[in-house]
Amino acid sequence: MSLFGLLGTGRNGMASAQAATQVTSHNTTNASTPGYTRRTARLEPVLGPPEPGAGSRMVGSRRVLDTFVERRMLGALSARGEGAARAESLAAFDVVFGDSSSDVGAALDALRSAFGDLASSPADPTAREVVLARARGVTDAFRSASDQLTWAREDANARIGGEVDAVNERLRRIADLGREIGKAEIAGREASDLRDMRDQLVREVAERVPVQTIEHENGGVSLLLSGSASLVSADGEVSELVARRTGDDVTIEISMSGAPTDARAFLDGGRIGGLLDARDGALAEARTALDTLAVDVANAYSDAHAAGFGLDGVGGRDFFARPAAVDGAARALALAAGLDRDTLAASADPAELPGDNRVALSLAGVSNALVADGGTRTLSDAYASLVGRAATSVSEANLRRDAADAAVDQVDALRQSVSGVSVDEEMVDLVRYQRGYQAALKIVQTADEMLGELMNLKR
Amino acid sequence: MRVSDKRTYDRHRDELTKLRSRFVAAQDRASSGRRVLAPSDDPVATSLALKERSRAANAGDHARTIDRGRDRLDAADGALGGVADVLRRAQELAVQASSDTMSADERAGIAAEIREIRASVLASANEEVGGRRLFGGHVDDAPPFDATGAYLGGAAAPELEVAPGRRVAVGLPGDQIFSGPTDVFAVLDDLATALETNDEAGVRAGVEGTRSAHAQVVDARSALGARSDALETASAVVERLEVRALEAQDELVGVDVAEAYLELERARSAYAAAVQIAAQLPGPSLVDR
Repeated sequence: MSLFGLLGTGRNGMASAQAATQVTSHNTTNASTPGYTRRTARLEPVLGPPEPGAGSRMVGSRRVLDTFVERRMLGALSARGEGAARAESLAAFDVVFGDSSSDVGAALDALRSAFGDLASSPADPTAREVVLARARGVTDAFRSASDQLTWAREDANARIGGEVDAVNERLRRIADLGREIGKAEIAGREASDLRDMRDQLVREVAERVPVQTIEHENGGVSLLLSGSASLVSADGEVSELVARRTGDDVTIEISMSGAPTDARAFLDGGRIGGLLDARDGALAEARTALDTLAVDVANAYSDAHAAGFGLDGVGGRDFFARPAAVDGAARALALAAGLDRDTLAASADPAELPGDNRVALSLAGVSNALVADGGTRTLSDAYASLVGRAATSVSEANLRRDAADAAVDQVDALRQSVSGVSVDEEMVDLVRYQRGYQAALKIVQTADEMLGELMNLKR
Repeated sequence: MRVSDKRTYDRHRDELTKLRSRFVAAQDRASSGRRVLAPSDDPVATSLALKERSRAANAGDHARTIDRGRDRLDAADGALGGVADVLRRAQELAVQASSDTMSADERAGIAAEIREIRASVLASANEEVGGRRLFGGHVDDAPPFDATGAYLGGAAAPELEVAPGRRVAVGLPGDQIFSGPTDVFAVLDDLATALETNDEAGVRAGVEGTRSAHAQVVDARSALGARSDALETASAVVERLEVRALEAQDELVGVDVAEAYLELERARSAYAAAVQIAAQLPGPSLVDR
């Protein structure tokens, strides 16, 4: 090998050390970047002839990652998204049923109390007014609880719509990035940053809907919803999710082999899965339970009231307007038309007016009678059990969220231990490459000196 | 295991967040006196506490009802006390007037007093409290007795629920006190008439009549007294029920003060320790060389 070749070797060494320093710097400065995967410089010897070769060169950098961990991460993220969205959505229960001053149970207690006073003074105009006011308190409490549950449902629907948009936007960018990666990697170099961006987007999609990925040779990636419906195909074709308002709720469709198909069966995870589960599960159940209780309240009080006679001697009147249907009964609960101070019944016998309080007594006893849930429990017990069930669903959702968080944390620990940047490591590498650069410089210097000495030989 | 910097910082951040929220929750518990801040903190306790709240309110209602019932029974007792007194006086007058030494004029004078007694008994029998006749039974908006002493009121006195499943009639319909078996007004009428007509046999019958009228009113008073006793018993029962329900409610969702302060202290020191450690980040590093 010639002395000039030695100069070339030194130059190669300086170049590769400089390029490797660039990789280390990139790692160091991205130590906190979400989704960043640490890189290693791929250094290799420049092969001869002439022997022994012409130093080292960097042939690019490569991401350090464990595909098994990455795959587990997608599943864990779907579970976390589901858990978080469900818990956020059901947190509404703590507000609806947490206020103990104006809730349905307190309103029913107050109504019973007013009937008790009416029994003490059946003809007293004030006692009669108080009964009517307390009854309106009951209808207000039902309406307020029902409204808040409806808002929670609306909120879930709005969030589902927003998440569908977020998924679609990311799907398009994933497809675009797939094409860019294909172009950029033609030279055989890994487009690490583009891949990081793409993988981060895939994780963001996984947080919203359950997906599996299939990597392709050309740098593209296919995304499958729940392993069956294609979201992004191998050739970068995107099937967007379509959120559609049907009736009171938003439903989601996906195009499968050209035909729009209900995607509900595939959405068993991710934020969207969690929102659907909360909306169609615990929220819907609480709404129905509240409506059923409203029907029981209306019928029980009206039955007892219809047996009595108002101060005008007329009987057979309802107390609450009897709901036509269970659905929406809590929202619509109202006093019977025409019920006022005089038509309010306290007496069991028109001949015994106005001091007869037997019907007032039985009205006061309604809330302690087994009239709710098909005659199996009292009204206040039915309310307490409704609240208990709702609260259980919240605490269960919170537990599941915490478990899913812990699972993501665990996988993230694995992922970070493989792919995360350790600044200390990079500092060592920095010193290493700096030293390499100095050494390569020394080679050039030495070659130069050797050449100089050779030149001096002639004099 | 490799330790990445991001992971180190993330873990400290998460730990601080968790300990801080535990600290804040402990503060809330200690200051609010509630262990269960939201229903989801303890669904079972929340649900049971709602039932206890309802029970406590129910017991409170009963206590108020008992007060109302006591007022009515006391008023009725007071009225009958007055009636018993004047009937005793009528009996004394009848005994006096039945003496052989009484002149027709003296008897006529006593007759006037008997007429006054009858008027006062009628007024008591028609007494009203808060617009409601005490002795009218259910029909309590009009005088239960007319001027002739005929009963126009209801057949039964109103009952009140004074404890769960326990009803007590708070009063007596007037006819059971004044109309039968001894008709108090007829006794007094007959006595007055006998005195005015100087009918000695009639006056002697009046002695017996006023005695049994008096006994009848006293019996009615003791019947009312028994109902008052029933109210007192019920009062003790509902008071106990209320206390028990409130205690149960507090036990379910309330805070154990000592435990709350202990937890607050624990949470505070855990948080303080985590802050201390986080303040020492990033720790020794090659970067500083």
